[in-house]
Parts: sequence; C-alpha cells; structure tokens
Amino acid sequence: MGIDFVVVLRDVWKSYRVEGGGVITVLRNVNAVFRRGEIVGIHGPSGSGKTTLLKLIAGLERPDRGEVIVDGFNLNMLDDLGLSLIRNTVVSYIPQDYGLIDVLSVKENVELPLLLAGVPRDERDVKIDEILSYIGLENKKYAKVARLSSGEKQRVAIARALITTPSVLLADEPTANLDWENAVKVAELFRKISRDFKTTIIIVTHDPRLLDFMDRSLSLVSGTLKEITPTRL
Amino acid sequence: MYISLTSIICIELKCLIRSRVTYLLLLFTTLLTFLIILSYGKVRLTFILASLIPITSSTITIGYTTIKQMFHTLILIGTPRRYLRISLIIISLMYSIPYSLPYIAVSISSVVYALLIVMVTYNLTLNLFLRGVRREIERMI
Repeated sequence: MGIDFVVVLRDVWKSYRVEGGGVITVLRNVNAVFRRGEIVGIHGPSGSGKTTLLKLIAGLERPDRGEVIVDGFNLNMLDDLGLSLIRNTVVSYIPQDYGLIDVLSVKENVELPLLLAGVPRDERDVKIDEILSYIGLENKKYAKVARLSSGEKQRVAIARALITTPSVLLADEPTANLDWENAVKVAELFRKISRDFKTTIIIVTHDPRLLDFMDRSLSLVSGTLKEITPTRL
Repeated sequence: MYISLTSIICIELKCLIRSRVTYLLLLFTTLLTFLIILSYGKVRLTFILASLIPITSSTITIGYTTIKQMFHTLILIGTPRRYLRISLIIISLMYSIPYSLPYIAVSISSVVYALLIVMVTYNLTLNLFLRGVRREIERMI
C-alpha cells in the first residue's frame, strides 16, 4: 500500500507587491508532502513566509507558480466557491487570534461551520456535544466566548476546527498567547487529535520548544523549506 | 457538499442582534416614530438624511468589533465572497425595513425614500467593513 499524502506542495512560489512598487518573494520553490495523521511543525523567524504557506494550503491565497494539492484536490483548479467548500469541509484553519465571535456562546461558535453546510439541527447538537466533551469544554457550552480565558478560547477554536472532521488542520502560532503550562496542554491535545481523528496537523510556530511534540519539523528560512528533524513515522 | 446562503444570513443576523447596534437602532426608530407622529407628518427628507449620521456612526463605533469578527470567521469557515456580498444586500434590506416603517405617518413615498437611503448607506458601510476585514485577514493570517 502506498503512502497516503494529504497535502502536496510542488514548486510553489509566492510574491507580494510592496509599497513603492517593489516585489518581495516570500516562498521560493517550496516542495513538501504531509502524510495523513502526522503532526508537523513549521518553524522560522518572522516574515519567513510561514503564514503565507498556511494561507496557500487553506486556499485563502493562490500561488504565483506551482501546485497545492489538498486531499486530492488541486487548489489551482478550483474557483472561489470550490475553495470555500474546501475550507468548510477539508481544511480547518485556526488563526493566531482564534477567529471566534465574542458575542456568541461556545456552542454557537462551534456550530458555525455546520450551519454553513446546512447540517440538520439534531445532527448538529449531537456533534457539538461529542466534540465539546472530547475537548473538555462541555461545562462551558453556553458561556460567552468573551468571558473565557485564552486557553479556553484556543480549545473552542480547536473544537470549531474539528467539528467538520477535516483532513487537514492548520494552526498559526497556537501557543503564542499562552503560558508554557497551557502551551504544553494544547500541544498534547493536538497530538491526541492527530492520533484519534487521523487528521494531518500543520503548526506554524516561532517557539522551538513546541517542536518536541511534533512527528517532524520543518524550517522555513528566506522562503525555502527544509527538514530539520528526521520523521518519527 | 454545499454552502447555505440562508445560514450565512442567519449567522449575520444573530451576530448583529447580539450587538448593541441593534438596540440603538430600535431606540432611535422609536424616537423617530414619536417625532414623526408629533409633527403630524410635516418632516420629510430632512429627518431621513439627519438619521443617517447616528445609524452610520453607531455601526462604526459600537458594532465594528462584532462585525469584523463575524466577517473574519465567515471567511475562515468557508463562505464564498459572492455569498457574502448577496447576504450583505439582504441584511441591509432587513435592517432598513423597521427603520423606514415610521415614515408611513408621512407618506408611502417617504417610506420608500427612507428604505432606499438607509439600505444603500448601511450596505456601503458593511461593504467598507468587509473590505477592511479582508485586508486585515491578508495581513494577519
């Protein structure tokens, strides 16, 4: 049986125009593969192109050159609606600020992707209970997000990302706003998720300590991706 | 696999109803109704135009965080741009209806004027927010 690659990046280039008319090349000839169920850390300094890489995999940006293939879908071939469907069902993205709506409750935030996909209410309720119980937030179901701690908000964001059981979960600096104790809890939760759901998890971080929790780690420097630890798989 | 436009509108309405903007709008509409009734329909376009200032400023100052979070989240969880634009038009129409109804005390044409003016203003404001959020997302994500 062949290896199951969920994300494939082939000769990916990305540039941005900057004020003054110049062009900055953020990613250069990036080639990488991510296997199903593995947890990978991408480490690099600010401005090295880590977030751009996540944006390309999430279908929020398109590459200037090269191919991004996610769970068999070549993102270059999809229009805006196609990319939106990919974000709703195949790839989940957790931004650094969690991307939650403060005026809604935990349940309402977690429910959003299912609402968008038109999932019936009974089915939604069952899934929400399951995922909140898995994440350990069942007692905060009706709490307003604005009243939660940073660690709890991160877990709500993870619950929302997981509710559609995506093939790929992308997390941008998931521990940036947490102390080390909470950061370890979140990293362990990601490991558990990758094992239990067979979800490929790609984490972007500037904290090298977090890389100890990964199956393998990549380094992104000056737009070029390099393996920095041997794979454990 | 499909994305439900109705759900997008429901999510947006839920967020807007929870924000204080809605309560301000209702308060303002009630006051406007009293003024129109008390003036026996002598006020027309001046009131409609004057009312745009509190509507726009209240949306910008108080609702900005909620609206920004709403758009940010909707884009991340897979809302197509086209659906966002359509939903904005529908939301601004729904927002305009309760506001315009008091003008029935003046005339039917005043209701239509109010509906159009508020709808266009609110739609432009929300569109402006959406553009701002997209730019922020491009920088943040």
